[in-house]
This record gives sequence, C-alpha cells and structure tokens, in this order.
Amino acid sequence: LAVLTTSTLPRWGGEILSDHLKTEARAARHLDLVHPNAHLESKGYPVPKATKTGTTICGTVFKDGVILGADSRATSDNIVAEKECQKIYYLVPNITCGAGTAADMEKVAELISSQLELHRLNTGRSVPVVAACRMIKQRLFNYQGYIGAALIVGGVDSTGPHLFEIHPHGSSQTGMFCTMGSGSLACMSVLESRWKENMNLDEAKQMVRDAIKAGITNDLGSGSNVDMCVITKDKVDFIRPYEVVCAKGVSFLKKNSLTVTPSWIPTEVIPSAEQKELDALVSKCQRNEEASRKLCRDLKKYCDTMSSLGKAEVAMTGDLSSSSMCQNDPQLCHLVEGYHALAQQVGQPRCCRAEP
Amino acid sequence: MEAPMELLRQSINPSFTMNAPDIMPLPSFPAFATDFKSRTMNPITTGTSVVALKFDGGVMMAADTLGSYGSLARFPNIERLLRVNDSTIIGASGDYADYQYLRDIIEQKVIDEACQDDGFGIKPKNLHCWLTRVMYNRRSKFNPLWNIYVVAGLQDGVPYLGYVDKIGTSFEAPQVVSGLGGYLALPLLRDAVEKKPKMNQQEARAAIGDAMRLLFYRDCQAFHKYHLGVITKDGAKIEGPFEVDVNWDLGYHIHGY
Repeated sequence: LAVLTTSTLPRWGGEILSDHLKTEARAARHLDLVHPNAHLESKGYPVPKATKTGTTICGTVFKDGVILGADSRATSDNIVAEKECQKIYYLVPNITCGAGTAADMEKVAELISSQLELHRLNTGRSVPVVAACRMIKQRLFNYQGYIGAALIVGGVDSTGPHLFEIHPHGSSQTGMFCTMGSGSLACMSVLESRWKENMNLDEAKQMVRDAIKAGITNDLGSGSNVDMCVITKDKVDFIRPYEVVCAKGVSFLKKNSLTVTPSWIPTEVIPSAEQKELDALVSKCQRNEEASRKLCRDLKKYCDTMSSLGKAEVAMTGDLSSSSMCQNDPQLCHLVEGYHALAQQVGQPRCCRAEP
Repeated sequence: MEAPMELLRQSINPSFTMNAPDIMPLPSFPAFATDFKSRTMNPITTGTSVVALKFDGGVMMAADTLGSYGSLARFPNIERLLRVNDSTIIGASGDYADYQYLRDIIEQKVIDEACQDDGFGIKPKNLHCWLTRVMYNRRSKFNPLWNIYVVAGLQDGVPYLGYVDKIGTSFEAPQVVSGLGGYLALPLLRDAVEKKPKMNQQEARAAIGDAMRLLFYRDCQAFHKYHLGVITKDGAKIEGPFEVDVNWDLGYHIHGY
C-alpha cells in the first residue's frame, strides 16, 4: 500500500480538510495532500486509522525544578509492541517532554528540538519553556488534532521551573502537576492526594514513582519500567530505568524501597542436614555405579582375551601337530595332540558372559 | 397494552353492534406510540461512584449525596446507602428510581424475615447472590435495573464485599468501587491496603476520605458531602453526611496557559 506522506505531514489532515476545502481553507493549513488522498480514497485505499498506545506519563514541579516520569510500554492494539520504549524525549539542555499517545510524537519532538536549538542560537540565551510549549501548540493546532501527540513539557529556565500539558488539538495548560495517557486517572489519584508545595527531591521522586506505578498496575495499556527525568537549574538527570516494576519472577508488591533493582539470579538454596546426607548417599551410589560399570567392561575384556587365547592355542597346536617336526617325533606328536584336544575343550566359551 | 382504538372496540359488546348499519363510526385517534412496554433506555436521575473497602474487623463504604439529572446537580441530599440489617449495607450508583424500587423490595424482604422470627436474617452473601440473579434476569429481558450495587457486610464474622452490575457482572474483592471511581479511587485504595494490609477503622476512614476528596476534585458528577457506612461486629451504622475538605491553594501557582 503506497502511502503518500512526507515525514511530517499526516495523511488524515488533508482527508478531512478536503471536504471543507472550498469553505474553510486557511493559509496556515498544509493542503498539499488533499487531492492525492482523495484520489487514493476513491480508488479504494481508505485512510489508515491511527493506533492508540496506552501510556502513563506525569510531571511535577518540586522545590528545585521539575520531574517527569513515564512508563515504558508501547502497545499495538492488544500486544505489547515494545517493553522498554522511551517516552521521555530530550528537547534542549533544559527542557524535556514526555510523549503521550502516538508514535509520531517522536517526529514532533525532533522537529521542535531543532527549532528550539535554532532559537537558542539566534537569541543567544537559554530557551524559555514557554517557547517550546508555544511551538508545539501551534504545530499541533495546525493539524487540527490529527497529529495524535499528547505531551507534557517540563523544564527549568531563567524564570524558574515550568510544566505544561499539551493536548493533540493544540490546547495547553500549565500546572504544578499533570498526568496524561490511558493511565492518567490512576496516576492523578496519587498526585492529587500527595502533592504539596516545595517538596524536596527524594519526596518528589518517590511520589512520581508511586504515581507511575499506580498507572502501570491499574491500567492495562501501561507497563514495564518507570523512567524518570529530573531537571534542575544545573543539570538534567535522566534515570532510565528508574525502577523495574514488574520483573519476571519477582513480585513488586514485596519491594518498597526506592533503589532496589530485582536481580535475575535466583537466590541460593541452603541445603539442610538431611539434604546433605541425601546428597552424600546419592554421590556414593553414583560412584559405585561407575565402579561396577568399569568392572564389567574389564571382565568383558578379560573374557575376550581368554577366548582369543584359547583359539590361538588351538590353532597353534593344530599347526604344530600337522608340522614336520611332529611327524618325525611320535612322542612330541602325542604331546601336541593331547595339548590340542585339551585346548579345544577349554576353548569353549562357558562363563565369559559379562552382565553389566 | 394495546392501542386505544382496540380497547374501545373491545369495550363495546359485539351483540349491540352486530348487523347494525355503521351510522356512527368509531372516532379515530391520532396515531401515537403503541409500544407501552417500559424499558430502561437510559438512566434519568443518577448517583455517581460508591467506594468501599475491607479493613481489619469490618467493611467501610461511602457514597456522596448527589442525585444528578444529566449534567444538572438536581438533588443534593439523597441517601444512596441502605442499611439492610445489622450485618449488611448496600450502596447504589446509577439510576436512583431503579434503586428506590429495589429498596422497597429489599425492605419488604427484611420484614418478611423478621416475621418468620427464626433468628436468621439476610446475610451479605445471600443478598449479593439474590441481587445478581435479579439483575441478570432483568438484563436478559432487555429491561435492566440501571444500577451498580456494592454489597458489604459481615458473613459469619468475616468481612464480605461484593459488586453487582446492571448486566449481572458480579464479583467479590477486597476493594470495590463503582463507576468513574474505578479509575480514580480504586488505585488509591489498593495502594493504601498494599502499604498496610491490616488497617484499623481510623485508617480505613482516612483512606475513604481521601478517595472521596479525590473524586470530588476529578469527577464532574461528584459532590462534597457523603455518607459513610461502617459494618463491624458491633453492628451496621450509616454515619454522615461528612463534608470533604478541599484545598484550592494550588490556584495561586497557576499563571498563564
């Protein structure tokens, strides 16, 4: 299915606008794809539906800056497409954004990041967070909600820490804490009950971790790890993963502390006294078995050699008795024939069965 | 019920009209709906979430006192918790009329049980099971009771908490929340119980209070007053109405958009 897109222009924007083309076309809208899309539609290639991915992202302002948190599951319908996907994108040294519900968020983030860098070079100053918010907002509004990016932009600039949440249609809100995504309600429950002014770093980190964890455990579209990004005036601390919430074989319910990462190696089982005795007996048995096997092999070998010896004796005496030396000496002949008969008798295989 | 035309025809004895000329035909009524079977198509006056959790020694349930009429906060002082007997309380969310209907039936059941005077009363599991069958039956007839019921009580001394839907979904859980509270309050209650599995009554009250405050903040149809139902071995009691303590100081920090 050949889809006409550029890297940034969505298909759907044009499709809907084509209906209102004559009445509502405005200069700011991108209308290049209206006719090609309409043509394709008429030929039976319908507009692809944007797939929604579940997510929990949140952000909060604390005493020294901003913390953004996110889960790390990317879903495609009912399958987990990626377990460790990164939802926190880096825009400029002092601003990052948490991506919400769509994959074209990445492209938006890249575009805005480059525009912000140009802004920074042009003005010679660090970029204010409102600039990022405004650029993203204007872009999303242009596409009337067809770029399905719902995001939280957070950062620290010369005026202090800022946090904005931006919805796909281009509306933005500022606040002290915000959540987005399918797990946003669960996440909001934690933030609403525990947020207070001027939290210190550890408190804030614990709160964000608990909030994302609530989203991960109560929402099916979110899962895997908690990623966190702490932005202060001096630095950006990108902790990924902050915590593995649902590791295989480890119940997160038992882990309470902030910094525990569950290990994948199962703990050593310390054997009890009886276990030790049993182990000793088992090893003894094994040794005995080895020895008896070896014995059997040796016995078999012995029997084989004996039988071959017997055969050799028979052959030898036979040859000797029929040799010229025997013909000449009747005493020797008699001796040799006696030996030959005896050898034949003994050479019968009797007790040489080696039973292992 | 059939159309009025038919009723009229049936009311006139055919022996009078047999073989008579049709000099005065029956009046024709304007066409109107003949399907008088009433089916619940959508709820009218609704109650929002009911939150409940089990604690060490009993169960606690809360429901706010608002009956919403669509988006209008029409009845600010209704009671959505029903004390059935000393060991059971049910909370209802959804259509209030359907709850009132069922409430009358349940109260009559309690009276009947008292009349039997055999020392037995309705136990929570019994009521839950009965409710499930009623709801499922109604749903199967395409005429549901548009409610979600939360049944709480002490079943032989052990705390019991159950949920019944308008389509007959029923289950038992340590925390049960109906409606939008399932997204908002349930994570909070689960977290609180995870941190302290054996809560006492005070802690349970605090957790429920937290949940009701959160719902008032984030649910459009919630209210700041609520009733609290507590069932312990000492009996069942509905307290309240309590008021949610809200803090809007956050507004001072918000500038711009």
